[in-house]
Amino acid sequence: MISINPFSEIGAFIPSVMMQIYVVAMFLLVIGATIFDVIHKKSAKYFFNNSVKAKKSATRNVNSGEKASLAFKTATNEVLTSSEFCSTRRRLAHLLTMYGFVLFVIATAVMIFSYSTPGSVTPSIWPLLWHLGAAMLCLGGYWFWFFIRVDVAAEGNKWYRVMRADLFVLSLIAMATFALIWSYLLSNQVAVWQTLFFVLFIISSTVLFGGVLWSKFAHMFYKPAAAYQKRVTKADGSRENLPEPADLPEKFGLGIKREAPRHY
Amino acid sequence: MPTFVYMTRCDGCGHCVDICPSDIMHIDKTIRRAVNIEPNMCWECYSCVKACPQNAIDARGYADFAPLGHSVRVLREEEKGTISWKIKFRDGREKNFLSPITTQPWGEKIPKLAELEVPDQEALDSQLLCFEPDALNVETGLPVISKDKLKEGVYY
Amino acid sequence: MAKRKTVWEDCDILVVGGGMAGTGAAYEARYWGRDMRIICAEKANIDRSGAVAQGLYAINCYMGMQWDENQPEDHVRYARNDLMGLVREDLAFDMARHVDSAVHKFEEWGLPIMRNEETGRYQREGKWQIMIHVRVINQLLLRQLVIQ
Repeated sequence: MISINPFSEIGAFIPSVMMQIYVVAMFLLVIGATIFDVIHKKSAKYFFNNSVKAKKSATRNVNSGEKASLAFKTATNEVLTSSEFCSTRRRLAHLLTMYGFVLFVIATAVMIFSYSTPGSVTPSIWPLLWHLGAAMLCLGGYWFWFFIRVDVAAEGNKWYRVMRADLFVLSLIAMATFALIWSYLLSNQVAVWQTLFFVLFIISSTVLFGGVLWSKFAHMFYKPAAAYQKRVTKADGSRENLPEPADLPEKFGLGIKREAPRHY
Repeated sequence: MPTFVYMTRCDGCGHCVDICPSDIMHIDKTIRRAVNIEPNMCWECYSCVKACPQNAIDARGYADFAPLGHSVRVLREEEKGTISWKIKFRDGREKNFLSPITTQPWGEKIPKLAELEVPDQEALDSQLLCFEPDALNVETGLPVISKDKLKEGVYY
Repeated sequence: MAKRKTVWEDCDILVVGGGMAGTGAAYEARYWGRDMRIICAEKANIDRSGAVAQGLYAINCYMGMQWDENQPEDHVRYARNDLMGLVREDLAFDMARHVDSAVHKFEEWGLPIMRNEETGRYQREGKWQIMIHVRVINQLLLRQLVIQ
């Protein structure tokens, strides 16, 4: 199952061009909806006003070289290692899901654009990465859904209680699950069911990429921007009016261990 | 005025939900971030402000003592055992405060009651509370008063 | 978010509320009743429960008997004066004579109390108040007590 490129099998029924058009359309939908969301929520204006306010209370100047290094640090810490999460579980689940998604999407794009005809010989790395990405997505996604989701962990709601904020996570998990099931059925040549799951896979991925305007998809672009801005405020001394971290006089410095909130 | 959440800083961890004594910090349904669902009931205890690991919560003061242009922010660092406040007045003055949270290592100095000796019947019958009379730090022990000293000067 | 669950418990002592008073009562109850089943029922998170959820900056009533600052009779007179005679003087006396030991034990257990630099005594703010640093959380202190 893992070595078969499902898109080359499907290439017998669906022309490659259609698949490629679909991928490009999803990509454009994401970009377009994110830009629309930014304009609609006036996020750019908000961030701009914030940076103006921060400059007013800044204690030192941050030159562009330093800003570039801050951007680099944001990319390596907050983006690549998800360092903003304070809870290890959440961080792990997020890393699993994030890298799973990246692998899955890249492998899908490569296989659709280069190896989607029935006769093509796919280098074995790509189906492997595709399945690995989907598996990581499923692992991280289900772990998050059942245990880590704050509605369940902190508010005591049941795991099956769904709200609009779950659109992104649910469609992500659905897409990965249906992809894996579809691939399994393909490799076992179960005709009717494999079509069904292929259709479900397409539906869930369309919901995922098409629902950007209503889901939290776009937050994956906003969060790094916010993290970069936070680093700039720390560097220029304004710190959003927060006090500086304490340097410990001798009589202080005895830490507290608060019990982690896991009361449900 | 109640607390509010900076949505760009909140990552939906739920610490504020867990700690609010009035049970008014909850998770928003549309964006899964924290939100104060009942500003009228907020008594600004700043528990959520202190509990947020991302410092994403702030409180708006009432206009009579905290007019626009002020800023009150707190940073509670549990590993260091300190709490710092930065207060900016709207005429530009700034005050900074730094306080310890506790002076003894966490959980060590409080005696485990299971290890102390069980009070006998005489101690139970006496008027002393636990750790008295030593904790009073006076040689004369627990003060007593005779009944006729009470309600002096009161007549019916 | 209906999360109503009825829990049936048997206990010897039930303390309703886990603020300053409740956790103190639970601790005291455990000291005197080692084998008893004591339940402290608190609706909020016990880290921040009760009227002092936000932390305090002062202890409002401390005698200072160890330094001859005040005596319980003075406090009774103060309360009677304040309330125009409508006080239970015996209860006020009892509370006043016990408060010192609680403050001393708290300080021993980690409460940061501000000290007057010259005299070394607790820093007063008026006749009855002493100033403490626990602008943060009183409960965390008491919570350690209760987790035993």
